[in-house]
Amino acid sequence: MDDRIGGGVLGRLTRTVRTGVTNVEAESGLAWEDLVADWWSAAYLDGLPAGVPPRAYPTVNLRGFLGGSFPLLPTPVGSAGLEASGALWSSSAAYYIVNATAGVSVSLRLGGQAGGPSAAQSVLRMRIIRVS
Amino acid sequence: MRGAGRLAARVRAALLVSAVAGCTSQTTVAHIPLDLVIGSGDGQFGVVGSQLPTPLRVVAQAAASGLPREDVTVLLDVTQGGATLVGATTTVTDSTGSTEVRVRLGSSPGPVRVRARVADQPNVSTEFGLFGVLQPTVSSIAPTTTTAGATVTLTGTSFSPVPDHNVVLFSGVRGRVLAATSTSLQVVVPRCIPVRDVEVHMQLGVVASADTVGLTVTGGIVLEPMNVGDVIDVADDAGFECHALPGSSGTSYLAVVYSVSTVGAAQHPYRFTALASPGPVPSPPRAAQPAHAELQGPAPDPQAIWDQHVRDLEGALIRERATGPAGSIAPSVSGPAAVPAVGERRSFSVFNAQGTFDQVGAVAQFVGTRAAIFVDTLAPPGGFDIGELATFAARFDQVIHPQVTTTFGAASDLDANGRIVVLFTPAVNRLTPRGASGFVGGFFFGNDLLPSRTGSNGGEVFYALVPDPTGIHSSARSKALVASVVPAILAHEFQHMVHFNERVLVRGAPAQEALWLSEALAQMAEEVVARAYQWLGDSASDSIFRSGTRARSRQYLQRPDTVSVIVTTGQGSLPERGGGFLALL
Repeated sequence: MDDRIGGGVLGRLTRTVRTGVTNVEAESGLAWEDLVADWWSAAYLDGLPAGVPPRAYPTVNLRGFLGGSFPLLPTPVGSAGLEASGALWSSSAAYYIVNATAGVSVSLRLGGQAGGPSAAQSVLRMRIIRVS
Repeated sequence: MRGAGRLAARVRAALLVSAVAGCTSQTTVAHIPLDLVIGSGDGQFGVVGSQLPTPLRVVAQAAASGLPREDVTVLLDVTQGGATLVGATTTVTDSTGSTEVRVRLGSSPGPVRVRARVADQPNVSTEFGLFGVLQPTVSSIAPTTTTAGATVTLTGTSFSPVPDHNVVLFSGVRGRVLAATSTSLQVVVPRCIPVRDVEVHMQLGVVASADTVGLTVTGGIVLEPMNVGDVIDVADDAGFECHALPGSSGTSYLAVVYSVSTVGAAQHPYRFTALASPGPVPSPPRAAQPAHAELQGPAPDPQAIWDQHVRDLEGALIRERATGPAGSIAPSVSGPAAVPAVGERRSFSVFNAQGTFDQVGAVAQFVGTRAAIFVDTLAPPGGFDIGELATFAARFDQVIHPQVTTTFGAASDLDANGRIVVLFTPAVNRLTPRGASGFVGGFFFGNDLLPSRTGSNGGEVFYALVPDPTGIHSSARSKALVASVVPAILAHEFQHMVHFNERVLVRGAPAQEALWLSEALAQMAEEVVARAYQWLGDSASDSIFRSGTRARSRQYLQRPDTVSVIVTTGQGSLPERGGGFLALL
């Protein structure tokens, strides 16, 4: 967020009586939902051709910062497809990567428990990005 | 019990003891307005007579700050329909502000409502909507061959007459029900279904039909070409949205599935479906991670646990201060003190894991323009020499202090001596149980900036561990190890000190900052200092200040699906800290 927002946002977050997500939204001028969606995208895309701000850190070289092999390894989706069930903590994310095969389409869908609707308070979302 | 677990238990006890020991005047804790929000479990369907698979979880939060509140008594009761609550109907929220109850449905189908109320604030309540149903069956589908976008008729029993209650899945992709009776559904085959055979399931919530029927789709798919970097955002609680992406050699798509709920300590079940063409029906869902009841957070870390509890205790101090009889939120000044002189002896109170204060005698070993370095007289032999302490002071004076104050704000100077005391003491070593994975490297405690409090040192102090090569006070810590972690600790803890001053002393905040954000800001101090060294061309120092944030970030990215960025689940962990840092980076 500091790299994206700049303008002394770290100091503004400190010099306030606001708290948590409310503080972040007020000082960044962005909704939490948008902020974290872009950040989670950047966490994987930074340094890749598809990684363009705000879906990449504007100046931070994340892969260079982390060093070594990149630790974020999305769950691969094979040519036979995938159905994966799990549970996410509030404000957490799971990553999947589809390596497409020529002539084979893939249809992506997000559901709630057992594939049904999700509870509104879960605020479940999915972002699909073409990486290459 | 693991070492970290023992520490957590001790610190919890410490919190209680200190809350009593720290009181210097009789105060009445104000009635704090609360909100009660649903964490998870709402909207479930279950077979009549069965226990619902997901507990109903509510979270108590302070209305003003949104921070979770522990020890709130919550009353639960069934207000509609036949159901019973399993276990206690009066519960108390835990450290995450949450509590939960399980529900067993009655014998009759129909809606059920369960209410949760705060015991001493009866107007603060929330309600869950649930459904008891009979297990549906599916006997046939017509036609059995069709195209995507066409309508098919599903026949069976125990369907819901409410179309949207019926979940019809075509190999995991939900079709919209246009019309419904208890025995027949008119369903649109989703446009994203490729040419292939699919299995059609019908379910009410998680209550699935025992049988499935087959359908052959012969065309009609609508593909959505994307260019590299293009984005599709899916925000559809009902789960009808589905996107068919064309495949070509070298093409890859990233799908990020996430919850942006800000209700702490809640978990949200999901199912991700990737349906390929042509090909076999995907295998049955596999767990992307352990099932709900088995999901474990990352391993707790002693430093994270200690940070959490010190911040919790500061929060209690702040609330008491804000609601105290004097209502005093103005900075308290302990009176001017002379600049420490090298060789000066001084006694400090150091908060310990038992919730009391160790009395530590220390000698000023080096005094810089900003930092005054004291070393405990009982520090083990083999510790830092004057030159090494001078190096720490130089880092603080020349880089850490100016960078942190420029970026975040001002430090207080209650004792009006223009110095920040850095006390190296084995009291910090003793915070880590022997054999624990990880260790407490240092801390700042806001109590020191509240001079009237028991145990306050009445000035700007933070605490760091000492080299203990033979393990007198805890597991052995070499001088090289301690020297490698102390610089970043100085930056980190100094930010906490600045934060406490700006937030509490200057602005009179009634509540502590959320832990995740407080820790993220303190870690950004490490990064800010690292950047300064990078700009100076000092790559060795740059690396020292980044090693912690780098390691924590790597741990977060290894399993971001198991870590909430905004809440500490349980005892605190390094991946949680890494997530918060990366979010602020």
